Amino acid sequence: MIRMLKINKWWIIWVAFTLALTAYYANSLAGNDKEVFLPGKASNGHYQIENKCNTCHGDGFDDKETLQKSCIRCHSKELKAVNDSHPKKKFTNPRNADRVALLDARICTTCHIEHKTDKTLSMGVTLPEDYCFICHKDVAKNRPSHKGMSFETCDDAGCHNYHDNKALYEEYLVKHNDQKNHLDDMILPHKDLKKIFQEKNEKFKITLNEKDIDSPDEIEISQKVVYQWKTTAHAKSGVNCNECHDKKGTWSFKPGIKLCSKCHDKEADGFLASKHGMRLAEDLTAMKVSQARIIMRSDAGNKSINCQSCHSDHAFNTETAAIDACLNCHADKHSKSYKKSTHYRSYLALKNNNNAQNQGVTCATCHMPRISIYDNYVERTLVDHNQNNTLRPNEKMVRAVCMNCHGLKFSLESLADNTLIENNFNGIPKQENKGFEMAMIREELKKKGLIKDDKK
Amino acid sequence: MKLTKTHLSLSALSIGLILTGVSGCNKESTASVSTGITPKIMSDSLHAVMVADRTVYTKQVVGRLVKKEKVIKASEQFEDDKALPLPAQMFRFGSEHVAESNANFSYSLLSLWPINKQNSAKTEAEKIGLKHIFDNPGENYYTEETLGGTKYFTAVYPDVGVAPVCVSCHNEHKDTPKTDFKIGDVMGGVVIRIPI
Repeated sequence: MIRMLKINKWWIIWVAFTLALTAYYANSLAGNDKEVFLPGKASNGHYQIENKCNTCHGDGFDDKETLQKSCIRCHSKELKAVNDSHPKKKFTNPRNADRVALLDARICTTCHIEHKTDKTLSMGVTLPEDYCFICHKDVAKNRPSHKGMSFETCDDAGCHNYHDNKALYEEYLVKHNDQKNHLDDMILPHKDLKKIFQEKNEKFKITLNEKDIDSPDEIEISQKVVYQWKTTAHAKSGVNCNECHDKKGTWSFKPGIKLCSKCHDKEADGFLASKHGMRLAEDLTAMKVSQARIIMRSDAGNKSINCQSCHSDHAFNTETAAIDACLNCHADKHSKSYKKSTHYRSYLALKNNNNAQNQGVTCATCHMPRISIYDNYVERTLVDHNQNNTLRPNEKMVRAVCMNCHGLKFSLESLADNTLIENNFNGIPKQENKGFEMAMIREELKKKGLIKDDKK
Repeated sequence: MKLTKTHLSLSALSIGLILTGVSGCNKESTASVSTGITPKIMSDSLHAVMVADRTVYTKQVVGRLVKKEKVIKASEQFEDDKALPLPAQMFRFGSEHVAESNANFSYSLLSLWPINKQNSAKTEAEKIGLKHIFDNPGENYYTEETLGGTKYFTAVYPDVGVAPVCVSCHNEHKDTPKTDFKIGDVMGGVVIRIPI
């Protein structure tokens, strides 16, 4: 009898344990916290959304086509924008079947396998470092200058990238070889949102004040808020309370990104595609500073990131958003060095001189630059809120940012210098980019009709 | 000849080509409506369209605007230079567009003297075909080959320099292995592949 009770007791414990475990897994599966099911941590690019499995995997797993479609859904725009040097269409021709057998460049997961952080190199690449040599090992035959170069040097900063070579191709180096380190005209692009809106609708030409406020009577608005609103671009461009707070006839106290994107859609799209907003794009809770994998301020850990984190509700100021909003969270060496940098000094000098032509270099100048786009055949300049577009590999920054003020060579050499990056470009680059010399030698040989003797 | 699935789909494509007014293949294509067409007819028809488009772009757009009117440049870096794409680039873009659309054929522009070495002959059929069209002016080369486990009908057509811009650009390019092309020379070959 005692023995039976003992056996029954273990049965009860086993059943209870099984039920508890099942309930735990079922709860994880149903909710947003699926960490227990992860085969490994996701890469820096995707870890923020790693618990939302179906974003990449769809409803099933081990389906390469679904995965590929997911990659393309989020990344095709940027690949197109950088004129991808290795697009799928170059590998679908049957004559490349032998190459595809060695390295299937038609699909992203050949090079970028997720959940393998121990094997993930920079740029999220999970292949051995010599992958360029699979197709280009004979490069020295046509480029004798490359003789003896090892595979580690292909993607040295300022040489070659797999996808984006817009600032690195030979003719571009030749064309910009003679540029000075600091250009004579150092002018940053100007935003033109106000002009674009005013051309669309006369109401944005009107400056509003207290008597124009259109909020419902029952909503109490403090004098402080009224003052803040009056001094911002919104009141000065005819944007009244209801423009942001009216949500289908109901007053919204905390308008979210959907309301902001009524007017700032391109900016919102960029934000949602960025490290700051990618969780919101997947209907997850907003990214918290404590979730970052880079060094952040310890006192900022609880902050969540949405539009208002950088552009506060009524007292938004793009200068605050461009420097202080960043430094309130980011605490890596590069960020902490900004206020000791030449860039910051130039910013202060121009600000003190009230220079309308130029506003100096802020964090946003480089990481959320003003870019020109064609929107319905109208050219406009706006702030690219997706910092990924100019971040890694850092040569992506050269054309969109650096070359507004600096020569190509100086820019590439600076971005290849890790010490300069850490101290926020306080100094000049130590190492020369040899690509320019190689390109110019070939250019000279061409002029002399001696190009076939490129043995130097 | 046995009517395969490929032939049926080729029939449909050939009807499309007839409707778009491809000249020079009316007799063979009309017969195809009821019997299907061979990969050779299909390939020849596609090539006729390619040559026509390429020649028109080279002469009526690039040749006219660059050499005659002198209003714009044609450049390999046409986006940065705000210029016209070169005729060979235009041809490749078309080929890449077809590749993206999962069409049941592919085509490439190759040469024994390619500017981009990725466009040199690679498969045996390409090597023999390019040599054949160079050694036998006016002739095409047809064969079958297996690539990546799929059997293809492969045709190689001579690509002739038709305008001064073709010749001057190739002769002067930094990466060209041949600098004495003349108008009328076979500068390369168009390779069309159809899975069979």
